Amino acid sequence: MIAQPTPIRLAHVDDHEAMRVGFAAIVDRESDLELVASGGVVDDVIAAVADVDLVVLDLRLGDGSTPEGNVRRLAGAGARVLGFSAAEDPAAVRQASVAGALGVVRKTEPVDVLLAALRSAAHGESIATVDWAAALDSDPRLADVGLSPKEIQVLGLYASGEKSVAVASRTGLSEKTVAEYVRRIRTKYARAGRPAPSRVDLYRRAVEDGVVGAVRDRGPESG
Amino acid sequence: MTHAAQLRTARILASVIGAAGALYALLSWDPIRAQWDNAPAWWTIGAAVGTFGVPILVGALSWFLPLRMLRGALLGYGVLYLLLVASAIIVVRDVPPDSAPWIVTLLAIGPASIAAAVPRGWVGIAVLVAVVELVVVRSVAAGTPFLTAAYEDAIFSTPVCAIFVALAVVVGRQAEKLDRQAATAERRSGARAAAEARLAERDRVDALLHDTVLSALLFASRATEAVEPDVRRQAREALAALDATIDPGREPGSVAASDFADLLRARLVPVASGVPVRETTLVPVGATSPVTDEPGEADAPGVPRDEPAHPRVDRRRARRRRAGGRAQRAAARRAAHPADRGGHVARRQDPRRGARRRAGIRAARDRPGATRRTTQHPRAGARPPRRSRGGHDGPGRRNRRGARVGGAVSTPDLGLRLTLRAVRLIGALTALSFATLAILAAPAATEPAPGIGAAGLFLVVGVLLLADRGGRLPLPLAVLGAVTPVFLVLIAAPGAGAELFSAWYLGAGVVMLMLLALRGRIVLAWIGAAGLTVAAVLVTPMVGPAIAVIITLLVRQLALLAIVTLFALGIRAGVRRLDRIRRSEVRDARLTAAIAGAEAEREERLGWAYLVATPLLRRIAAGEALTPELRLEASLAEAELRDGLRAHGLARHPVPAAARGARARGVEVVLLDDRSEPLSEEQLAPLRLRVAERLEAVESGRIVARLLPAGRDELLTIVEHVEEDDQPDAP
Repeated sequence: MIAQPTPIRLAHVDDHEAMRVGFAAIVDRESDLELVASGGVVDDVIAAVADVDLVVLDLRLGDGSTPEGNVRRLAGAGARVLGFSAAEDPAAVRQASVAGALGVVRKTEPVDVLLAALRSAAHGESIATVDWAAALDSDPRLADVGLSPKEIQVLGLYASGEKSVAVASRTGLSEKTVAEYVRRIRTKYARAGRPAPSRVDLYRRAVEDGVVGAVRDRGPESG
Repeated sequence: MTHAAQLRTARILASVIGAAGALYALLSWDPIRAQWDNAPAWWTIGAAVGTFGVPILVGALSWFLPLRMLRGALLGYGVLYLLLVASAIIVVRDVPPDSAPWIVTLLAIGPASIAAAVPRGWVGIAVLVAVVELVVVRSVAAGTPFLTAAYEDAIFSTPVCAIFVALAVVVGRQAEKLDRQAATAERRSGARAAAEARLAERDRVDALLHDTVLSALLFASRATEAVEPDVRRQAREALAALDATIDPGREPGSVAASDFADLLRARLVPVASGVPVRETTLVPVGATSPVTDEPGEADAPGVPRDEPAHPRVDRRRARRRRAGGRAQRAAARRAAHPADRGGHVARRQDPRRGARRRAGIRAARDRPGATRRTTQHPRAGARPPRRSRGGHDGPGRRNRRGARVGGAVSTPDLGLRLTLRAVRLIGALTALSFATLAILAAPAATEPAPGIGAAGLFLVVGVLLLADRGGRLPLPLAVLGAVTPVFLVLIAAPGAGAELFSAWYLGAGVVMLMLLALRGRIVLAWIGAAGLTVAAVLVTPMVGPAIAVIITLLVRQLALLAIVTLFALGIRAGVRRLDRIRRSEVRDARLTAAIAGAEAEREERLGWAYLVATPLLRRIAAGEALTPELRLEASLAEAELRDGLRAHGLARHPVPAAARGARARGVEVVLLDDRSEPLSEEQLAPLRLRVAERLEAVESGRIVARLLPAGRDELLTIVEHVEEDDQPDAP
């Protein structure tokens, strides 16, 4: 007997009911996707995020919360977060990126683009959209992020609308290397937005970024 | 100088001059009274009224008279004084020597009053009067029969006159300077407040548009039949929110489309005779041309056919542009471009000129047939944006002098800036007078050398004091100025002769102290005066005039110092009052500019959103079936609104129409404006033309046009994906 692959478990936060209904309809048609939680505010899904692979978050909620605060709450609960927005506000995209969102997808993107982004983000991959890249590339504080010249070039090309194949061609890199650059850009940008006034904070940031492994209860060393 | 500043300055001057005239005349009461026996009755009455009544009257009335009448009063006062002097020379003839101070006062206050009354060219007039007076008095001193004033007092009249004229000069210039500072501060702070208000209002309105209008249109374009009721509810909510924001005083949903159209029409101003006002018509999304009330209007050069009219036109600019067909076309373009309002920092330009610049646009294809990438470099298309003088930056433009702008009006210097050329000339005239006195006193002196040396010291210190720039006199210089008069007495008095003018050092020392008082060192000036008095009393009895004469001279000089001190205090209070008023004016200007900026931004954004979205939302809310055509219209309207929010610099003619067409053909269009500092219209026009050309040319796939952040090598990138490559880009 062939085991069915485990579907990707999703949660959706959007303050517009019609949008939630539409999103549910889109996901319902896909066998490998499962919407397990949906709500108008983060509180509606926060209890379920431990069991989901990805939270799709509308960046502008009507409850007065901020994109950064919402992404941090969800990430703090262990969720991967993908921004879902009209993307007309670069500041909101930057906030979400600082808080560690994997990317931002426009609500107006074609359905297949959205679905592909959901599948990639659910596996922890960074989603490099033109809106995400343009928002970061135009950030006046970008110089403080500490991107390398190559990373700046990659970000600029994405921001101008190039796709990964063209970015690889223009930079002379492989697509895999370009993907690694995108991951580094996202990590550096998020790290720059988090103050680390002490060594403990620095360690926490490094753990969050995956630079060092977290100390777990492993019991006594075996040797 | 503004009318208010002129009025305040004139009132201060009139009060001080009036007080000075009355005070000094009082000091000369005895000689004046003595003349009455030698003069005709009409002259006596005239002299009494002119000496005491007029200055008090002018000083008192100055705070009630309007500016024109006050100027007339001051002018009449000055002329009256000069006539009194002339009449004294002609009518009285045998003027007792002791009356000279009174004559001096008349000669000094007369020019000063005229100087205060005449707004332009008064410095020259006053100095001319002083010079003429000097010549007259010198001729009298040489033996002419008309005026038998004491020689030393006649010479002394020159610096007194000069001081009063200098006061008038300084006050006028100080007020002008304050006025300029205030005007600049108002302009800068007003522009900044307007820009800040616009940005804040933009955020507020954008949030509203996103949360209501954009979402409603997005739902309408994508929703399934199952959620149609939700879509209609969303459309109704969006309409209500839009109406409530357009007119917060009304209940949500109460603003009819026709009402808002009327509101927009009311804001439109006929920009020129012969140039028809564009009718604001709620254009159905997807229509290619608005309805105009003049058939030929849309054919006018520079008037686009596919843009809704802007709800507001700057009235003053419109009036200025009434002359000339070129100006009319420019105004018509302004009326036609909703987002074309920031153009006050840039010249309008015929879009066709942009075509000639296209040679500078570099196009590159990295993969032929796959992606077309076009960039626009900063130097290829247009010159950098001009900065207007005085920091008059347009809304949204970053002000490089932000820190200074925030300070509004700086605290004015309490000391008076005696750095003007005219004032220095007057100072030179004063120094020359005392130097002349010192030289004339030398032959009569028992020891001439100390007197000449004291005159040299007076000249050197006087030059140092006059050479200093700035407001309040620096402390070391002020101390030097305070002790020098004491040294003048100690050096010159022991060897001075018995002639009255041999005590020139007293007048010279007091003049120096007057300068200190005017430059904000009143306390030091009076400390110096006390030292001068003590030194004179202690030293003078040994040689020179009798102690009674010295005391008389000291009283006269110190009276002058008192007048100048009162003047300085009055000016200081006046300056502070002026500053308070200016600060209030700046606050008002900021508030006014902020309100205007916020209103303009709201009108622009909401007017545009209203015109684009409202017809569709009303159709959806009314229950019209969500046909594919209606969904397409909703999708196109949503995209157009999003372009306006995310690509402010690009979403103007001719890009919106081209983008609408491309989207209607199935092209995915992404427009981005990431400029932190807006480009000038001169720079944007060819860029938009370029973008529009590419939008019109592309038939499928995706096109991304982006205005890059400031400081990059390129202004614009256009990337076209002509292949069907819509896969997610998750590297």
